[in-house]
Amino acid sequence: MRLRGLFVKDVALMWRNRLFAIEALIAALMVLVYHFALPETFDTASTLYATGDDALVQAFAQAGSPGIVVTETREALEEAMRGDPTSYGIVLTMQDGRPAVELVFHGNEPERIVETAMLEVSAMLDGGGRETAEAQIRYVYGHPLDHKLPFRVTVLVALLLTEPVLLGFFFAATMIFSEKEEGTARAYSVTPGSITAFLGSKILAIMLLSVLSAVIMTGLTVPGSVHWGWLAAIVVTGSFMGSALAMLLSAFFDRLSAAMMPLSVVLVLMTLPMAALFAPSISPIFMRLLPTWHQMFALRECFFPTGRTGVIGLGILYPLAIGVAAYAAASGIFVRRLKD
Amino acid sequence: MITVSQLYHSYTRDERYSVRDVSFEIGRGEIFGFLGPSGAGKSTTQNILTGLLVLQKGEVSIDGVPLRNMGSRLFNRMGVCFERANNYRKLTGYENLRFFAQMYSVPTEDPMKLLDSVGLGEAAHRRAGQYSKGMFHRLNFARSMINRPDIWFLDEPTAGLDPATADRIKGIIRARQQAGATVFLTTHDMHIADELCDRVAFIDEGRLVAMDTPRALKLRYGDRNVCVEYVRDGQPGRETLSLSEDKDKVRLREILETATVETMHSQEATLDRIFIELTGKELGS
Repeated sequence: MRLRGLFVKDVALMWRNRLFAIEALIAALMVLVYHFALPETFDTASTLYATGDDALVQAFAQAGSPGIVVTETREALEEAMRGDPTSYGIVLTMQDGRPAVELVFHGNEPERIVETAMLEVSAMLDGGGRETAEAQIRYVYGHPLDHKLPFRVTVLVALLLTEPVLLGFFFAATMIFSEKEEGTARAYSVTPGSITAFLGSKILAIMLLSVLSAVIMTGLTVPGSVHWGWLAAIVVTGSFMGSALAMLLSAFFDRLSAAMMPLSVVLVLMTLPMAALFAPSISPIFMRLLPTWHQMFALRECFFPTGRTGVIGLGILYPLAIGVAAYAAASGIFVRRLKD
Repeated sequence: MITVSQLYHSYTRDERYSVRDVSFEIGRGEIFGFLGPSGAGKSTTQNILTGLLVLQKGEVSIDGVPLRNMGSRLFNRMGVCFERANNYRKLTGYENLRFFAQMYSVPTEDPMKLLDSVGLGEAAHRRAGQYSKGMFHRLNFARSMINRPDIWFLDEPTAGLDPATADRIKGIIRARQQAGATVFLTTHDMHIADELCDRVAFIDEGRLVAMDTPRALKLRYGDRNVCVEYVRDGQPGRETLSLSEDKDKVRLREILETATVETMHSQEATLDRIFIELTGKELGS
């Protein structure tokens, strides 16, 4: 009854503060960007060095893009790659009368560039005739995808990450400071209602908003190519974590203006992993520790399933654990700060 | 009902106390006025009693039960009207009260009836952000009654209200007292304290400096004077005479017998004057 009352109040306040309208507008803008502004594919502009059987390499080079550079030997290929950290290589040989393909990577490439390279090579081989299309491809590193990776769906992954986590973070902070600055948090604190319910209802309301937003964005872009159950779980846990983190930070301050600096720092940190979606070479270890990194790859797995449920599991459980810890800490600190 | 014993509070958690060695008792159904200038320790004391501040040192009990052990039972019995009105501006008056009613686990008032009682019936479905300052304050006052509190904390309940509305609010406070509510009234307005309170306590720099009924304080600290305006032989005259000095009593009798008295006012001490006499400060400062 109490939580329902809080939830209804928070949804009403969000509606009247036009947060639903803002969210719907942003979702609509993103749908428009997806349909009309993003290119279907994205040229990674990596150099592909090729070597091996002359006839095969020539056929491959003719079928491929102009970025292919043919080297005499495998050693020359590796030497050339050492001087170009964004490049990758392909060794084409004949084995038992059939072409064999070996992809060569530096070994520290983000998964995306490996996947993109494999897709590019697959596309080139597919376009070269029946004989090469039937060839077995051996992968030195990586995991094969069974379909192409459209660039704009990659952007959609970034947008979906923005929605639940980052807007949830922003909205939660706004709602908390509104309660503090209007003095309504103080009015609530002399009722039997608990702080956990007070914060929890806001989290639930923001989750609702995030799910609606994700449904709009995905439903109007690629509704058929997503695992809706996993997507909902990632969005809900991401929203939970974002809201709880904002509440934890907000617990220490009385005014939004005073909290802007720490809120901005956390917001920027949470956004950083998105850089890896578009520039795979940007992937320092600290970035891989951020929960948004894992959410990002979990979201991508929803759209481009490779069977790695562990990626999705981590993308759900890691933010969930951080959210639970932040929520518990925020509740405790909120109570103490209200009584000091 | 409410027993406060040797209460101390320091915001800096050292020896700089905002409230020091404050003790008092409030009986059931009593209106207890807590008077003092800004920063005297009124709000700090009220915040400790309402659970908004941690009880650092001293004892507070309600019906013999320590405040620390009250939990949500206290909040179900308690109503608080804050000096700074704090309602949801984006919700209507009715929605504000309905929301807060849902937070209690005891029977609550009908929001519409409460709004009617403070003159907000017609504005019930307008957003609180569109209310005038006085209406907003009345909504705040109404909210403090939503759970039918038997312990009622009122912080400047008539501040900023026009006289007619203030009278209405005072009437409600008296009616609630008649119904058995105990009222802790924090104010620096001696008029409302004098009018409503069964007893008052003066607090200054965190210490209680006096506590009694308004009448007893006036008798103890006041000069019993009377101011007479009269006309004798066509000439107006005005004198202030003591009711306890023999020569002034004789002079008063003489004026009454030989002149035409136009006005005559007794001049017992006001609570304001008594506070100044005790502390050297004004209540409204």
